[in-house]
Amino acid sequence: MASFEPMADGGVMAEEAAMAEEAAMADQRPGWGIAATKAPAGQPQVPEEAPREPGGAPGRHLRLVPPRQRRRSRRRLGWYGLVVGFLAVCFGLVGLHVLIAEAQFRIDSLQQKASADQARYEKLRLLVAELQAPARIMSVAEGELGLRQPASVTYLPAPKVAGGQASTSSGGQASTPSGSQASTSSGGPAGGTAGTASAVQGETVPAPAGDADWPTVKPYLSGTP
Amino acid sequence: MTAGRSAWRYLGLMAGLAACLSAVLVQLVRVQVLNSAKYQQEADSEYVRTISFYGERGAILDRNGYELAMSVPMTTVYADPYQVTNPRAEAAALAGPLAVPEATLQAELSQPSGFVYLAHTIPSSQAAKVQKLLNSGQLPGIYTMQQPKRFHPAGQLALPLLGEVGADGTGLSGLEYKYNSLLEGKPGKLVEDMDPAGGEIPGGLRQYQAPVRGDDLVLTIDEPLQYDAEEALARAIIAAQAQSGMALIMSSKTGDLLAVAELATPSASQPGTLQEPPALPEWFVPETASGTPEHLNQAALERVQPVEAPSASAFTTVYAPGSTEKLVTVSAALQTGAVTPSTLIQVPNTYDVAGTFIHDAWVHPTLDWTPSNIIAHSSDIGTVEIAQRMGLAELLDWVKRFGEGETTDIGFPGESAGLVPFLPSEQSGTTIATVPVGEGIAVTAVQMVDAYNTIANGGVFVPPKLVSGYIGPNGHEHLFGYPRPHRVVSKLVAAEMTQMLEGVVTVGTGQAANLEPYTVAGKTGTALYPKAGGGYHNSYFISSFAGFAPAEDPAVTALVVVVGTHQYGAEASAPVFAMIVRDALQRLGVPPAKHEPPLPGVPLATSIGNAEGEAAGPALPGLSGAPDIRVNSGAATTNQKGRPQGVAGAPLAGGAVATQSLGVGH
Repeated sequence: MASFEPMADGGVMAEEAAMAEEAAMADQRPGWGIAATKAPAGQPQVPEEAPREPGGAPGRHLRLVPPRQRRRSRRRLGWYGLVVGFLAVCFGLVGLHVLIAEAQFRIDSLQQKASADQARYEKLRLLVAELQAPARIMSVAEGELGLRQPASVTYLPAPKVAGGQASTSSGGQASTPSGSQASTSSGGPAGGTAGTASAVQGETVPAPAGDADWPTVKPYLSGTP
Repeated sequence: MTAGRSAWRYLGLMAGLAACLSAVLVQLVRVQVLNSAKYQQEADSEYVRTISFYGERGAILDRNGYELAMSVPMTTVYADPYQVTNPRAEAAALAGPLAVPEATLQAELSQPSGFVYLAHTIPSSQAAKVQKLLNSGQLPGIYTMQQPKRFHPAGQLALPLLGEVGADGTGLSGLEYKYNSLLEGKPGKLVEDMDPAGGEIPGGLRQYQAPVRGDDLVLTIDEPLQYDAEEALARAIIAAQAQSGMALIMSSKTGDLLAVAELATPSASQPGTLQEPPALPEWFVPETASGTPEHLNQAALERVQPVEAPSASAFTTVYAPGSTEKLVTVSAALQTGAVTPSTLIQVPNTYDVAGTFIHDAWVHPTLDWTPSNIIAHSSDIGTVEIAQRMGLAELLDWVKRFGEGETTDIGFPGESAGLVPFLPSEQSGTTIATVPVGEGIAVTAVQMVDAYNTIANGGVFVPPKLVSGYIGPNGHEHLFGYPRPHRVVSKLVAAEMTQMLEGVVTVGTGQAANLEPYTVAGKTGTALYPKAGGGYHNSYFISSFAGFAPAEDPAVTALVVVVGTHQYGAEASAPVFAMIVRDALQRLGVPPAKHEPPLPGVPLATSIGNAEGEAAGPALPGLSGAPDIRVNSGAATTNQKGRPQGVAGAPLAGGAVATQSLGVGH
């Protein structure tokens, strides 16, 4: 947009200049202003001069650009635009491919990691299964821990519990629920490993060390018959 | 002249160009139209590759979710020899990590091929070493891929049931074969463009189809009980110097098979073949003159440990049930009214059936016995007399109702229907004397445990189950459908039969199965072992014990069969039955119940002391891991009073001569 010096005789000249420029731009902007300047078919298109205000002086420092030069200039500008656009598209494509390649590397890396993690999971699952196999547990129990199967099994009739069935156990372990006859006098939960004879006779049975923390680990058991 | 020459030149040039263009055009049509598919395929093979992903095979789980069989991806190393630049150096580098001789590797790497396997499914430690070498870039042309390998985390446990899987991941036998379509996964694939270096072209063609993991199969087997059963059975086979054995534990109410142990000594490795009595093993030390008990060399004992049977013999192999079949005979007679629990039956010392004299396992005077005593003391003569009151046709009908003579709904691969002489052409005059005592028929172990479970369930036959369902990819378990239970005998008959079977354990032949304070109802069985060339061995048996506990409210039904032993069922099988049933009751949390009063009108079996020469078997051994195993000397019945007297041609009391031995009546 051209700028004009402010003049003393008002904005007449500025208005004229603006109108002339607007008329010139009308050629470049299709869709508006064309109808007013378009010559009949077969005749050279000559832009009309901007309408002048009556009594206004013509702009002496403006010159009319020849149409050919104007077209050449516009064409050159178009070529520049095309080249720039082409280069931009090329750079864009290259950049896009760089991004895709980077993403592909990430995908490959993640896929390898996922595959490795999956394989590791499967192997750990196998390891867990092998560790909890009965043969291995028996081997550790008897071979490493020195545990032995009982030579005889003693069965104890457990006292009836309210709202439930009598519970029994074997191997010298009486499974008496907390608060049952076998453990009420102990003042605390006896856990599940009260001594055989003691459980029957209802004697005070100190809870084994391993069961000392039952009230905190399983608080819902407290008060449960 | 010049102009004309130029014109000709021009025309020649044009003609040449036209010919060239025509040739190009023809070739274009040939390549792009006529043979486009072929060239497209060749082009694709150059820059499009397809990578297949295996669909992981589903696991086989026990009823608690423990893996009995599972697949794990392992590393397989392969090579493209065309890309291998220095076979010798690469073979030398790989020989150590792969544990393959260098010469072998070098030969493989020098083959004129584009693909050779170097090592299949190597352990993780080896795979890590190979990967380290590959990452260093020292091994051009060497690649790795993941391939599944089938593992059995619990070792050989229940292997005959599970079956085998081939190298291609297809089930070959057992449950792996039967449920292969469920277990096998669906493979996936990746189709992608590749660059000349073999790398993926970013943004190129990429079609990915994910593999689908197979379903997990859930069995009714309980892994700890399976282990207990196999361990106890192994000890029994060793102690009885037997060839093989089976031990089944069934949940009485549901028919779930909790354990199916099938073991055999390594020498009895061929299924379906009869093994002659073996010579005493080298580790066997007979009783000394001073009466020192037999002992075993532990190291030698371990060498002859029974191994998993070559097939699921509980389904595929039939055996003569012996006296355990008397449950069917007497139950049918009670149901049809042929006898009542209080019917007195005269049992002589010998009994003539179609010209053949049969006898019991011991010499006795003529006895007036109720069915309770006949069952408790396993009288063959008394049982045959009961069967005769029904008739053979009726008896065979009831044999079928108890599930014998037809396959179970499990449909195990290769399952046998058993051998029952249903057709008249298969029967003879003595069939009525052999079938009732389990000598003229052959059943599978599953059929027999079903028969006992019918009585345990108050007369209702509950179809056995081995597979409860499968777990799909969404983690949901889908249960298989099984036929509905159906009643075979009345509840009263089942209760009467249960009381009779209790008598077997309390005062009869099965006292070794006593699990006081649990009540046990069961029956011993001892059948003669068939000879390979026909006939039977007189002192070589198939010994079994079947029963259930607690008798008042059965939770567990079990059967133990020891094949090819010199010991009776009372000695070879009843103690093992007691051990595995006790473990099962404890594991299932079944408390001993208060004993129920005897049924009115059902006489209790009475003890007859040693009059029958009954071998009650040893007391229930503890579960000590020590080799507290007693082995009899070659004469199997040295510690059993009263050997079977019915050997053909042997004189019997009263001057009778036995012409056929049906069994030993235990």
